[in-house]
Amino acid sequence: MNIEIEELAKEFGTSRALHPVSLSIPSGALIALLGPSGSGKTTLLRILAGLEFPTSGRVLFGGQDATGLSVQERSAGFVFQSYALFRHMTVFENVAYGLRARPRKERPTEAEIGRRVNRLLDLIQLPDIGARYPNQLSGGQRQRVALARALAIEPRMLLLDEPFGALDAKVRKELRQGLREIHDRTGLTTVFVTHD
Amino acid sequence: MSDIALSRPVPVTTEPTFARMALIGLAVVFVALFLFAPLVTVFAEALAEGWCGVIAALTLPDARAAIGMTLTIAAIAVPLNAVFGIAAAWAIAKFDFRGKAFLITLIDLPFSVSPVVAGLMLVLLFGANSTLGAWLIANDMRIVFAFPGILLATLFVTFPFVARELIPVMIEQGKAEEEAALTLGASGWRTFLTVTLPNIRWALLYGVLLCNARAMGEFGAVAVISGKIRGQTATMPTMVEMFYNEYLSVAAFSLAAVLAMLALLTLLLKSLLEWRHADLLAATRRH
Repeated sequence: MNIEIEELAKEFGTSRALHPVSLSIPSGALIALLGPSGSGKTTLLRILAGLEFPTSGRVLFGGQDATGLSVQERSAGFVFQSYALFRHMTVFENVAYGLRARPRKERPTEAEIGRRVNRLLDLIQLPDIGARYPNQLSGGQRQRVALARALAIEPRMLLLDEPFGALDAKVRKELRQGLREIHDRTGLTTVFVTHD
Repeated sequence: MSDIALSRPVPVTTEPTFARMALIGLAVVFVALFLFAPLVTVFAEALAEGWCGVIAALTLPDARAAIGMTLTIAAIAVPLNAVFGIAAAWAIAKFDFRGKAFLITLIDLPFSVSPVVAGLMLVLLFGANSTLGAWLIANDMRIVFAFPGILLATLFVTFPFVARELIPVMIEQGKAEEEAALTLGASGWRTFLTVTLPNIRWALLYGVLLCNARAMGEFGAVAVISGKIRGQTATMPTMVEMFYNEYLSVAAFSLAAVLAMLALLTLLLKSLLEWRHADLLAATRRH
């Protein structure tokens, strides 16, 4: 799905968080938003996800105006900088969360949820960690679980906020490679924010 | 080099034996003197005339009415303040709005105002001498010297406990997990039930237990607004005082012992829950 950003701007009170920006992201692209901290990259990403609303400008998803859509209606897979895994749930339950949150009619069966979660855990190459809690994982593992959780809802696009920020150089390199592979396999329009 | 290593046989954070003994001894003596001894005295005085005396005292109609009143008040005030506390903490921790600092101060008000003053405020507001009070009485709604007044006083005094426990926990946890749940398609209500509530459940439990202890033990505000009418508006703490003033020491201490038992029971419940869920508690405390 292609994303069109038209003259999007955001102000918090009197301070400008995001100067008007226009951008066209073709379907299936892998885009990095590069820039120093405080330049509004994260704000732009959060507006795309529906977590913030712009002061002016428009967002179009697949040619349709999506500016007023709620965060749930966007169906954007979002990977947070701090991962934001649910700390009281196992990895399995974390990944299954989006599927269980669906309205009853669209909710997959328990067996189907199990199959899908295990397929995602295979995809991120951590097939045996379903029963663990987030605080029992390393930073790189948490990152990949957060990615699997975002992919579980079969999102229309994938948004990642500083996905490799808090990790050491070696893990970062592996994950970057992993993200590229996952992108190539799923063909999802992917936007990520980075400062390097 | 090895000499230097040998000259420090114990870790730097360990004190000499005598210092440790002295500190532990001091703590034990303090706890025994100021916490344990009074508690034992209450039970000893209650049992001065044996179990028959305790049973006779607790079956007095006034004592039974007071126990009923206190338990009813706690059963209504604690759930209400749990809900109010969650709502207040939620608003303060997850949203930015004008007057937030003022709201935090307002939540602390019942802590800083003397309970007697709080009771007096309610009497002045709802008593026969005020316009509102006169209107209420004319319409046959009694608040002062009646059940609603006691409930209002208890609600006021115990309001901060749950909110105060929750605010720091919710601020520390931030909004990220809730935002994650929303991007995964969960509704606001579902997010609250499956993400927010499980994350605050221990703080909520502590808040509720503290709130409950205070709701059952509150004296000052309740004494002023209830009028301490025997058998009608007397609660356990006010009844204890009245028995004691009438030199009915067995009755006074028996009722006091029941109050202490209720407090010990809540503490036991807390410890039991912590013990049963120790693994989960350790696993979920921090990322």
